[in-house]
Amino acid sequence: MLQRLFAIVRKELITMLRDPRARASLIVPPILQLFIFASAATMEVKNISLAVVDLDDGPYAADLEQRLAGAPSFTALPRYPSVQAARKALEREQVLGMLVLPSGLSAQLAREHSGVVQLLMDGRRSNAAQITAQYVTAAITPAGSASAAPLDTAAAAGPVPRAELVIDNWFNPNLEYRWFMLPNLVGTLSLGVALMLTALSVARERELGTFDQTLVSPATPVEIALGKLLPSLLVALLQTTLYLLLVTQLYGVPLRGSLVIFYGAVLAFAAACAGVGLFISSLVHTQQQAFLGAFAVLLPFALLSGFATPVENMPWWLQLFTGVNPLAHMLRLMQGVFLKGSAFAAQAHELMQLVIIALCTTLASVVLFRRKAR
Amino acid sequence: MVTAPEPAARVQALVKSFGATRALDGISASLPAGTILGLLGPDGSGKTTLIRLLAGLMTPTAGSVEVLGRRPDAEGGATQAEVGYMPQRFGLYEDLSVLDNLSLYADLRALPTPARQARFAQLLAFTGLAPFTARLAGALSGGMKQKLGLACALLGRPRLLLLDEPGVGVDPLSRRELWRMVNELLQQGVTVLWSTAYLEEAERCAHIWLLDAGRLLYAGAPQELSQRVAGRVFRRPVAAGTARRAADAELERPGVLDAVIQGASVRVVARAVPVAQFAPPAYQAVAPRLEDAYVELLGGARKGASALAQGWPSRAPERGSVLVRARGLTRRFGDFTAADRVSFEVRAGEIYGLLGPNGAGKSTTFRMLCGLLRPTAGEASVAGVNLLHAASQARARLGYMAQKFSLYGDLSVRQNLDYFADIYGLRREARRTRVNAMIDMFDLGPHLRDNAALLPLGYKQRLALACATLHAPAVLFLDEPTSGVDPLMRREFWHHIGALTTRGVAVVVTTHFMEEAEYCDRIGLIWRGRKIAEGTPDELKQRVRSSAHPEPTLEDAFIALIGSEAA
Repeated sequence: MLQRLFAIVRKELITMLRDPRARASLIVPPILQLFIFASAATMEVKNISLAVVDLDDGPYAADLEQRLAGAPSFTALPRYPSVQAARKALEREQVLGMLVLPSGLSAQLAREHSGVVQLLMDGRRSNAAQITAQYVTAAITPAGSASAAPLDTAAAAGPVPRAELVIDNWFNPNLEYRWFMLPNLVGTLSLGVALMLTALSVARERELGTFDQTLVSPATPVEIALGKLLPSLLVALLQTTLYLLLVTQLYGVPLRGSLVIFYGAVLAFAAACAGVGLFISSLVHTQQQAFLGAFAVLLPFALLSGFATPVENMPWWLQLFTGVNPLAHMLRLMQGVFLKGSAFAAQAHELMQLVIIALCTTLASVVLFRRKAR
Repeated sequence: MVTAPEPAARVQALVKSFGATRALDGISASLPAGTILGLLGPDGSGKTTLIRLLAGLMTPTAGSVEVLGRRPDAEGGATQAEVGYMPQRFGLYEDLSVLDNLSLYADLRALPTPARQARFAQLLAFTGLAPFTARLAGALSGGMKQKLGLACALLGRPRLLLLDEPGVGVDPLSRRELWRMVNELLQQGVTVLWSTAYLEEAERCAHIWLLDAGRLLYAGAPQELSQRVAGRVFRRPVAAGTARRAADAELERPGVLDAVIQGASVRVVARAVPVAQFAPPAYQAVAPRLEDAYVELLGGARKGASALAQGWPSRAPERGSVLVRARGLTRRFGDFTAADRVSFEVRAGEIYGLLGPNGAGKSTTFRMLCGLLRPTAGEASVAGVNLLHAASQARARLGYMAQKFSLYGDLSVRQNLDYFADIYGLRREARRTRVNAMIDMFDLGPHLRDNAALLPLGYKQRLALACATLHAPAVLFLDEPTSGVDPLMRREFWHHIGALTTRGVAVVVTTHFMEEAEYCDRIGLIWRGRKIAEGTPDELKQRVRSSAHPEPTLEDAFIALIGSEAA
């Protein structure tokens, strides 16, 4: 039993690693992807041009403007005398939005420690607009909030001590986005590998006719299925270890959580994905079908994981899906392991959920594989 | 032939290399116009490369190609209009209907619209596809696909027709149809090149080019080649059931070039005249055949006992005990019954052939027998173990070798052997001895580190046989094991298989090639999912013997039996 299982695993690993090109295809593209996405797929918005319509003409306007100008994301803060004038510029896409400081703002702030400014954004560029709005909010929050801190100290205060990490991000956009991206990429990139490897390998053997050769041997379908799952786990382990080194050593992302949780998460996640891959491979006959099948699940997994859009913004029924989406759990675990270093117990709980998902997909896929094998 | 007409094609010192390998290595020959040329050779001998060079789809590495008086590589478009090319798996669009396929190829050939309807009607009548114009090409049988491919290749009224292995995957009935069509084309003055790995097809051609590993072994009339062994070919009738042993014994005699089984007799080719040792009445002189001369060209059959059988570790089972039992095997796919209550038994030391056209149900039956497919009804057992109840144990007793030598191409020879030793559960000492024995027996030593995919065809076949027999199975299942190999490789293979039967191994083989069927002790003829006839090759031939047909071949028997069933 074990002899046969090991034989199949060894055969799979040799197939993956013996050919130099196959070996390179396991290592080079994932690393390139990590580099490319880490530099390209940031959610930062740079080179922002924001119109300022200062109807207040008081000390606060100058102070706020200085703070915005100090942030590297804002390259231009052209002043416009009226909302109408700024509106024209916005229509021509010369500016991304406008910040309107109503008259008497400074006086009101001095009196009541709170006030209202208006931010008008270009809805056509919704993503950039939303992010810019967050930058601006961050810049004005200490002054605009109901906090009792006087204006001049608020500007120098920096992060509010009791604030959570989320707020940290807004204050240091340049660094934090990469820190946010890289742990996410570790999860997302290893998703594709484990899923594709398993889905394609069975289809490939079907096409070559070697699958029959193994099926007529005494090896049982369960042994064959496990023999297909385990190598994907090993490859995923190897790749994520490589990522771990790159992300921490090259990009300097801190590793605040436990390595046990990290590897536990990687194993459970890879098993969950390989299970889905094996599931797909039981249903298809050619590599092309397997590829399309894998793609059909990869995209929803990636898009509904909280990677691209926050889970909290999704309708409730999609949020339910993210509950069973292994990538959603994986991303939270990676965030926790790398950045938050949150309580071990909380992460262990998250990991348990991922393990349960992994058990479900692998068991279901082995059962299906067994039924479909003959 | 009074004066030789201008040849339809001529090649001069033609070389085509792919990287370090030379697919064609200095070929010079000419193709006489208005005749049929058989391009004969095993898989990988360079047939397809030569055809593609003639079609102008490749340029030669060295040497020259001339087709219909022009150089296809220099002025491709000009000759392509007059050359019809049908690739091995003709590029039919399976999701388009028969008529759509024709229209598409007419568009590609820029056939003028007014001429089309008449040409389509002509070709559809010619190929007998007229009733099926609306059927999707993917739903056609293998033979009908080839006919449609032929129709598409004929659209432009070519003067030269290049057919790359049109007989592969086609049952004997359809193959006869194809030949009828080709003969009609020849009468219209078309020159035809028919490539094949099968001698029975090459024998029907006016000329043959015999390729071997990229070299031209022979160019000329097949009869002329056969005549080289004239007066040296004999038949020796033997008692039923002793043919295999008799053939082996003949081959060991000095002066014998080749000895094969032919029904209940042995066909012997002497190395040279005089042939006093093959005197009547024991030996009858018979007409030479292409295969006899082909074997001589290749240097004669390999002698020596089968090391595979000599090193066989397991005890021979009792002679006559039933090792394979199929009882009422039935498999339905939806409404379609692929196999319908097929029953038969194979005893120890017996070779049983499942013969039938493509799609007749022989593969379905075969796959149920080796546990690759679950029967809808009925049961199968191997070496007394039921495949349904104890699948793993039953499978441990069987060896399986598929048509395409389905080994792991990315693994080395050694890794393949180790893998199969492991999944068949061979332990330490047995594992080492068996693997080493296989390496010695099949002379795999020099190739141990090579990828299986890159082995020469003959070594692939040896490795496949080694992997299938490492665990000394009681039953061997072979799926068209020697299609596309040369006669020497086929002899070597069947020599081993024949020797294994002396160790009590039972063999089940599927084939639709008569050359393989001759090696069987008994044959079950499968048609439309049912077993319609069973018997020894001689018995089956006997059934259709008539005054009009005094010496029927197995193929004749096959066609007649199917015909009487259809009537």
